[in-house]
Amino acid sequence: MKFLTTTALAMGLAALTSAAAFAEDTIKVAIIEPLSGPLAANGADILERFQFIFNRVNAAGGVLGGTTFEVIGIDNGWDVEKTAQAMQQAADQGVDFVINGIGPQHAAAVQGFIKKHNDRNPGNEMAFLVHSATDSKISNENCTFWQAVFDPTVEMKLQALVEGMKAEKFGSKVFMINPDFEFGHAVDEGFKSLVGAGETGLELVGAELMAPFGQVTDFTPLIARIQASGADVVLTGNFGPDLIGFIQAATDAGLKAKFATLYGDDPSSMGALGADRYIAADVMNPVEYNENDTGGVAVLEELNVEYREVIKSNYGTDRYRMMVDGLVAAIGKAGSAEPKDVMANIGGVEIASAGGTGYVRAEDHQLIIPYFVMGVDKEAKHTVLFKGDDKGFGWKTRYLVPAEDMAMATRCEMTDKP
Amino acid sequence: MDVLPFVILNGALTGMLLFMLAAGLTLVYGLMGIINFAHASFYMLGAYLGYQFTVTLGFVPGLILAPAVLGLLGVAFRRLILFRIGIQDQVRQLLITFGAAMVVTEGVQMIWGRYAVAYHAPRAMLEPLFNLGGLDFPIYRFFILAVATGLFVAIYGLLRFSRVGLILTAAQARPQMVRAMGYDLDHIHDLVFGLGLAVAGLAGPMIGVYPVMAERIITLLFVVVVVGGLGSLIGALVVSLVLGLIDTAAVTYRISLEPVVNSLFGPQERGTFLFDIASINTTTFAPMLPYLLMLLVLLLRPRGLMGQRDL
Repeated sequence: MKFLTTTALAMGLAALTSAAAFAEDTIKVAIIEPLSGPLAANGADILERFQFIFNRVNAAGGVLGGTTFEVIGIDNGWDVEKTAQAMQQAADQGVDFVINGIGPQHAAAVQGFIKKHNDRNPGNEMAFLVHSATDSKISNENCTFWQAVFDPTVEMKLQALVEGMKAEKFGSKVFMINPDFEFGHAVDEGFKSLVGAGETGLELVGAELMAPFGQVTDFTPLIARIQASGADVVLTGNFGPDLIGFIQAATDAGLKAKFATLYGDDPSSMGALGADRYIAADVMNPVEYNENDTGGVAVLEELNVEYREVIKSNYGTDRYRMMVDGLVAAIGKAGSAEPKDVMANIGGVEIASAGGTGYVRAEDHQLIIPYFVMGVDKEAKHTVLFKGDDKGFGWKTRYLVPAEDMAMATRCEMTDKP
Repeated sequence: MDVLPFVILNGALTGMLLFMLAAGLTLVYGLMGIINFAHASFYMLGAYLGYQFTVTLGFVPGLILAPAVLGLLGVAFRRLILFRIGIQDQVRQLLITFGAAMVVTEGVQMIWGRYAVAYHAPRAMLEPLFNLGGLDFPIYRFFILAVATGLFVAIYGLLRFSRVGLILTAAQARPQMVRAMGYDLDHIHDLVFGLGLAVAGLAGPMIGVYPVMAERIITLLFVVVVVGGLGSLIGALVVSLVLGLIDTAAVTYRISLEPVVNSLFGPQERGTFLFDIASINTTTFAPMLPYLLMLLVLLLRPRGLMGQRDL
């Protein structure tokens, strides 16, 4: 008897304390990202950025004449099972919009859950806003009416990189090294098909997949292979310790090749490697925003300053603001914040960006924006700052890819429009 | 490019670095029978401490202080925690050191953050010592080689020729007898454990400093210790060099199953099962090879190459 009451009490307390309680009459947004474990810092950073931007919207009066957004973060510990549990938690609490993006396997889990959930719960649907596109299937074969992707796909980023490389005469012989998981495969396949199509002016002299996430400790043999191939550009989707070790080994060995990266703009890698190595490697990286080139857009000039003051980090990522702007615009257009109405109106929404106006493509709910191909700049006016730690260097625009070039064909066929 | 000299040189450099990390673990396991799962986490702590000392005091003070601090921590750890479990109780040892590993790893990340820190070897050390086949080999890789070799000579000398070493070797086989003869094994064990961790503290700053370092390397270190033979310093050295050579060779000479699959079944389309089989190659799977080696050795010779006691 005593055992039962104690257990019941414990469970009751746990239930009370575990779920974050939502207020009534707000638009509920759940951000499901790793808030514990090795990627906790990335997840926490994203949560903070979104809260910052949603707070701005709320402070400016919210949407639909006064309705505010309520944003909570749910930890998935970068474990796919926990992502599924987090989705159930979100569903139970009546969350309207789920935001996620770190790790294609998690986006796939969220997508799968939402499709089933919306099928079984008409009237209580949830929508999925993806902030980082790391796997083509999510935007193409597995696309759904209930999602919008606010990041160019891997293929689009590669297209931008290739155009930047051509315009800047960056190099002609490419050796590709990518991490051996879905994202790395996407980069590997994406670039191979771009080169195969024949308009890149680049020659692929080697491609390897390497064991990811810090398993490789000695990069020298890879450097030797790259050198033996005669490559003058290394293209890599590596990030974190894989990128740090890689560029460190390449610059130590005096490898005469430039680096075209997809995650070279990560402040942590910049800090760990330092300006000299970045410049020695002449890193080129495509990204949606670079604060040294706001294109005169007023809100971006404001955010550049505000974000630095409040969060002590530089405002180097703009697609979260684009997502929130897109969401707000769709709500305004639909006259309602119900996920069904919002997703029906999100196609065609225009998005302001530093490189010019972009839009959300109706066909697949994909963000199409002009894209910046950045190069390292030791004399950058706005250097990269992360949580008060100034990295001492920044980025400049080497080439701006127009939005039309980014609007690559999609294989998406939305079969689940309600 | 002369591939073979490159493979041998790079393999040796990588191998010696691995040896430096594994030496402490071998020492502690071989001479005291303690499975210290926290070894890699302590080496991570040593690396971060080395980074901190380098930033505030300089590279050389960092190199001296980090092992010193870690040695003291090792003694404290052994006295306060490991002391309470019997040497025979291996399961509890494993659990306690595993727990310590998690605490130390998380603790380091809490203090220094979850992002990689900007640890740079001194500029002078980054200069190339020489160039082999178009690739520069910076001085610090040879500095690591020199330190690792010195370490091996010092520890080997200690074990074979010093009083402490002889007592320890005796205590491995006949601890009661050694105690009966009046030697204070506790102090000697303190020395060994502290030394084991101090060596880790020396190796840490050499390898690069980031938050996931401990988890990645601990299993590799156990491969070295197990395959080399528990308690055998020479075994650890030999296996470290072998693993270094295997890793370099595997990535440099890319051997894949593609020719085999293609000749038997013709070229495969992406996404099919046979395509995945064809994609198996030594470059991508290089980090897995040490574990395959361990599997082989455990099946054929469980006491390792030069070990004196079985697993």
